[in-house]
Amino acid sequence: MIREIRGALVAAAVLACLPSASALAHTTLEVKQAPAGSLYKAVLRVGHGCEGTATTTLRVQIPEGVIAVKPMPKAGWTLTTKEGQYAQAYDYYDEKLTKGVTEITWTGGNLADAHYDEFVFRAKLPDAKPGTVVYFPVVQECEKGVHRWIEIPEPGKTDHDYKEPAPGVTLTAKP
Amino acid sequence: MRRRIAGWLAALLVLLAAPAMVLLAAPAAWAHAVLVEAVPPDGARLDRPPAEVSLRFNEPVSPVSVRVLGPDGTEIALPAPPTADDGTLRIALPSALAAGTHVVSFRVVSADGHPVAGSVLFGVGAAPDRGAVHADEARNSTLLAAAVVRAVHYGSLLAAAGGGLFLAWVLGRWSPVGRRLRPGLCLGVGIAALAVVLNVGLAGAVLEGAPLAALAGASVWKTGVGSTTGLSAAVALLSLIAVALGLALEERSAAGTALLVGGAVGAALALTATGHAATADPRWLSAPLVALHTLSVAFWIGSFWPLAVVLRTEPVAESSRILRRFSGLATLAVAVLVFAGAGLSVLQLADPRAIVGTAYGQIWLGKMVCVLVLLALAAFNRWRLTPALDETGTLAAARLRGSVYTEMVVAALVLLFTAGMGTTPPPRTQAMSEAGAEAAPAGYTTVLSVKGRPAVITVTPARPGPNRVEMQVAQRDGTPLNAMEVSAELALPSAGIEPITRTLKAVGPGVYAVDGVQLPLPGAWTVRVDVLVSDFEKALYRTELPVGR
Repeated sequence: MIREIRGALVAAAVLACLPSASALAHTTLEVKQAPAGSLYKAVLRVGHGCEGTATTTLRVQIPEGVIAVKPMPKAGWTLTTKEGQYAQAYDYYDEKLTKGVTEITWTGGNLADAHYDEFVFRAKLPDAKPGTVVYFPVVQECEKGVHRWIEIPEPGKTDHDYKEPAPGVTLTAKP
Repeated sequence: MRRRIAGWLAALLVLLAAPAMVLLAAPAAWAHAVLVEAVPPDGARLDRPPAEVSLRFNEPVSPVSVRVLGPDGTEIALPAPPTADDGTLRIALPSALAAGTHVVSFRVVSADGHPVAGSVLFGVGAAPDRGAVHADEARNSTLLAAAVVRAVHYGSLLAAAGGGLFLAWVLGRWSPVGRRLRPGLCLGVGIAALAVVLNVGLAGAVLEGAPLAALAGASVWKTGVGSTTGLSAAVALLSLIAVALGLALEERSAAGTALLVGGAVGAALALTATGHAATADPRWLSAPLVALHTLSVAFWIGSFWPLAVVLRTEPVAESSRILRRFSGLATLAVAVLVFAGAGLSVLQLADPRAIVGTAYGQIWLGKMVCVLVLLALAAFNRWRLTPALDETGTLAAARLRGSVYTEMVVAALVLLFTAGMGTTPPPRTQAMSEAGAEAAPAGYTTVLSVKGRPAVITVTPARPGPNRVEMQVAQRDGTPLNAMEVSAELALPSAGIEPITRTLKAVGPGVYAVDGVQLPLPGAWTVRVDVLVSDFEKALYRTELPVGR
């Protein structure tokens, strides 16, 4: 009887020690904080496929306010972008930008579930209040299934309250 | 000759005016009103305060009082009085409602003159707390007084009308007895008029749920006059005037007789203007049955006092003649009475089980027992005592008189039971409210709004077992939202149950549902519905779902 209880306690302790596997499976940004208005290198870390199958497509939606987006090409993947009108004209050095990249797609590749890869793009972050979080919704399509990292946390809630949160970067004060 | 024509015209007018008033004022078949639907539904948890509360009843109603209580229990002033629009009561609410439980307490009156009261709860920003509702104290003293006054009203009105009928049909013109009876009958008319007026006030008090002291104020009287009891009282007073005129004219012309008869018919019709019996479906059957029943009752009980006087004062030969004439007419009246009464009982009680099961049925049973006693007495009078008048003379007269007094007492009991039936909802309306409650299966509905997109989530029946989860979602402009995918996740964190995830299928524009979601335990479940608006946008709706036993 005591042996059974001890065994159960050990098992419970082991289980408790296991890190929350779900967090590892999230697609997140490597650098989670950046100054407002800065030129930011966004590194999307893809640690898992969907239901054990390989990732074949990654799509990123650029939110309003993020301008001058340039994705990094990837060997073995076809890179395409979609352009659209910005809601307003933005100052970019001596130019006034009214349109730009609104969606980036890497497709055609095969990232096995057992492997890890990063998808990179560069963008100019908006000039917003420090503490604002800029979310990049990501759709990860695999051989079998889709992961939509598109849940935007409501005010007062953080990523941890959601199952499939969108990767986000928190703006800090300008230097 | 001219006086005769004028007299007949007057009688005709009275005969026509009363039913015309009743028919014009009374629309389609009505019964006890029941609340069919409430928007927002009772027990709803709303994110934003509603602009109005809409209560739909199964038939036209008129509001008596509506109160809205805020979370702190104080009454909230309404920006506009509630409007009743053909069975739907709309209550406009002020714009800035505080968060918390709100109670809408309503009292309306349906066509049969009965108040229907209830309350509807909703919570703004939080699930409503049922403890906030305090049961409306039944004003027992008012109800009792109303029942007694109603019995007195029935008795006096019918006795006055019936007395006139006795004069007109049994005694005939030029009878010396008539002169002796007249003062008493006039007094009876006066008492009946007083009872009619008092009944209006008490009906108003019952409708408002006010204490007896409220009779001193004007509002209960206004409510009473405005209800169907007011209409009934108007017809009754008109009939009593006709009876009084008939009593005055009786010996001089045939118009007197016509007025007396017209007054009695009017009194019978007055009692069809209100009450359960006359508003039972189908109305073309129940109203005439009530009229026939009441008319025969009027003749019977109206004859008690005149018969007692006749037996006391007249020589035996004359009494015998009068009583034989009465017996002939009374047999017919009793036959009509029993036939009409049986028809009405079938309409009201429908199911024999209701006789024992419901309060109405039990009162009916009491009335039937007394009616049987009365019929037995009447039969005894007719077949044993009336012929005995010729044989034993004054002794038989004395015994008959005693029997008539006994009949009076039993008839008073019958009237009390009848008044009791009038203040109790009949089984057919209870069946309807039960059916209404069953038609809307218990469930949980909540209205949410996420980023300006309103949604209604309904889980039926919100009890352990298979449940249906339905979600209705709209765009920001209100048009139905056709999502790419809708999935729901139900979890009971306290019980450590794995969240149940189901995909909802589109069943209509903007409407998604899934059946057969097995909820194993009662408790405070949480529901999360993910609506995939586009590839990159998902609207998340979260709510609590109380699952009852």
